[in-house]
Amino acid sequence: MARVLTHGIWPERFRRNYGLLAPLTQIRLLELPIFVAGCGGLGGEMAAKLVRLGAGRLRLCDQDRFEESNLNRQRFCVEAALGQEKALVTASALKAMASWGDYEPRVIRLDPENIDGLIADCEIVIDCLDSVEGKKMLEQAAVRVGKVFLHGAVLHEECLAFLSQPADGALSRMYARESRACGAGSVLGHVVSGAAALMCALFVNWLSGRAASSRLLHCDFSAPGLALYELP
Amino acid sequence: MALHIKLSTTLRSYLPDYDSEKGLELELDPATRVTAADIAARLGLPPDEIKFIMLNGRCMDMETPLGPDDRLAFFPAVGGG
Repeated sequence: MARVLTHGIWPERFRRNYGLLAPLTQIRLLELPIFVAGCGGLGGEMAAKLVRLGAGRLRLCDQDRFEESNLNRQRFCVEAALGQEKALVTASALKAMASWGDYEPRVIRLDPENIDGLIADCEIVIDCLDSVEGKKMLEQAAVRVGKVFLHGAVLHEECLAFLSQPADGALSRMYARESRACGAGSVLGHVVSGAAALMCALFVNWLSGRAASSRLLHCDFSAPGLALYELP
Repeated sequence: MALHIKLSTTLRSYLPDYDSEKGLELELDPATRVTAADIAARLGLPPDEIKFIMLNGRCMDMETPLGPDDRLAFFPAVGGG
């Protein structure tokens, strides 16, 4: 597909991207190695959006299995998948979406010992984890290894998102007051979808080489309203 | 002086009548010297549940003095995925 794109021919599956993504951006996306940490709510939505956009190389990392409580918001959680490993189900579903892609599931718990190695050959690290502690650990790894970091978080009817290129520790500075926090709880399905949409927008802006916004996006779906904040 | 306050997610449970669209407007004596920590205490927000604040669009310290028409947002840990 990269070859035809270089000749200005758009594969039918990407025809609706035409005019919105430059050919070189589309080509870059086909081969871009992307690390997705978490295959639950945010991770499932992000993976689906990225693959439909044309992402062809994802490493999907999640240690968990789908549970009934996931049904309200997790894209690839269906009744038949309850009890199955999220990373495996997600990779399989992505393959059904785009058989040409390489979607590598890793059923593994991220920790300080393994995380640098898992992200080393990826260009961007996408944070879809479900605890502040885990998110900070992921960001710190992205800082050490020098990767672009795309953060997302949801709770109740609100979400947060930002992209740092490269990762510079903004999340850790933001949560300087807390070292062991979860920050997960009740959340509505549309909030997860909306958060992933914002994250995907940041991703596309970065991929397209547009002037990068290094601000924190905060969307309150209960209002609804969107606020932008300067990152610490 | 007027202060415009927003509370995120779980912090709203401490103010049952909180309006998510309008937030909270506080009117203080102009001579009053207050910080975000003071406002949190006044609203009954447990300090250990506030993980960061945004003051006029910037992440600031809880002890930063507040001024007229300041916009202050309190956030708990927002870490779901």
